[in-house]
Amino acid sequence: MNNWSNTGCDCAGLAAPLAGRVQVRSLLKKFPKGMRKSIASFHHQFARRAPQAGRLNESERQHGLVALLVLAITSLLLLPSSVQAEHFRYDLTIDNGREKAHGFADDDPPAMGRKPREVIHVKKGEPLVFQFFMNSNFPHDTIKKVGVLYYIVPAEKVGQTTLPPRGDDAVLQGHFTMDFKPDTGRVGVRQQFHIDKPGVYLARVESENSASDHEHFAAIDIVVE
Amino acid sequence: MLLRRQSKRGFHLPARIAFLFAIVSGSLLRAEEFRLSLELSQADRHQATTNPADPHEIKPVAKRPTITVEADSKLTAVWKVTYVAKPPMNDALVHFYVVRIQRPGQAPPPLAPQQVLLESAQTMDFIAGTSTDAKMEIRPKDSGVYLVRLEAEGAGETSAAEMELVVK
Repeated sequence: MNNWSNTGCDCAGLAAPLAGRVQVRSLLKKFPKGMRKSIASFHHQFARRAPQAGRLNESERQHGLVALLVLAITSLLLLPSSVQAEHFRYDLTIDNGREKAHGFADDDPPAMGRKPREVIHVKKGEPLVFQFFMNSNFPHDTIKKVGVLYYIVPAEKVGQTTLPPRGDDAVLQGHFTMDFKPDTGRVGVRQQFHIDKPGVYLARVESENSASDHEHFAAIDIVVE
Repeated sequence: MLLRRQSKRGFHLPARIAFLFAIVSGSLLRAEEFRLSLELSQADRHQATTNPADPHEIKPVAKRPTITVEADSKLTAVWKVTYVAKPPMNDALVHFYVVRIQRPGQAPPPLAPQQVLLESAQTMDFIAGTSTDAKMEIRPKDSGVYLVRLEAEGAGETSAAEMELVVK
């Protein structure tokens, strides 16, 4: 998917296929916590009763059918919003040669999303590799003039919930403006870098002006020791 | 005699001329698929280049524009690719990289990951007038000569703009 080999391009690190790294989202994770519990208990109830399934009385059967119906309707109501939320797929990595941290798609707002970020510990001055792929996941049309912004900036702490400012102290930063065609629209960057000053840093890639009421991003926390 | 023989096979002179015209006009069209601009700057230093209007133009690689900076200084690369041909182009590849080379004027080397300071690639559709651009920062730690190259790969023809970065 994120492989340019079909174009004959001699893309160094970017040609590496990402087999097995494609983000697989469980629809279950999209449900509110309370609903997840009830779905789990619903399944559990049936699992416990499976050997005696033939002995369910009429009332139990009706309860089961009602629960199933509620679940189906709720799924149908939530499905469009979960599909709509996925305009882009991301695979962001920071590699220090010993380990690799990954960042996957999250939604903005809130600015720092809702998912926990992976953290990578590195030594000051050591060679690091920043890499990301961003694919269009919007099935309907080309999204035009989308901004793709990436940067590594100092942060106050690991897991910070406010977006740190992007100033002259950015370790690296860049910006693309491009059109994203369904399925084949994609961009990738691979860059060598190092950080000389100990502290906490945020590596992030995000969309801008994607003709939506929200944007998408992926992020990783870097702790430089 | 020869012409008569070919005529028997249905390969008439007008068809030959039309065939040659198609090849020539095809290559002319390809020559103007993309307009590329590439700039590198660091503090008050600045260097810019574009792709040759005719990609078949023979240009000695030793004459690449060059910018010289000190090691560990922050540079900004700015590029823009504009599609100027008429037929729409699907899934064209735009490829940009900064790779360490052995000597000035060296041809683009194979992109070994450890030699590549920065690389970006993107695919998108182009119609006449469509463009894509980028602005990126790099900070070369090691001294040496680097090739900074922007490529746009169209229908069988690659347009490229390049310069050299000397880090001291």
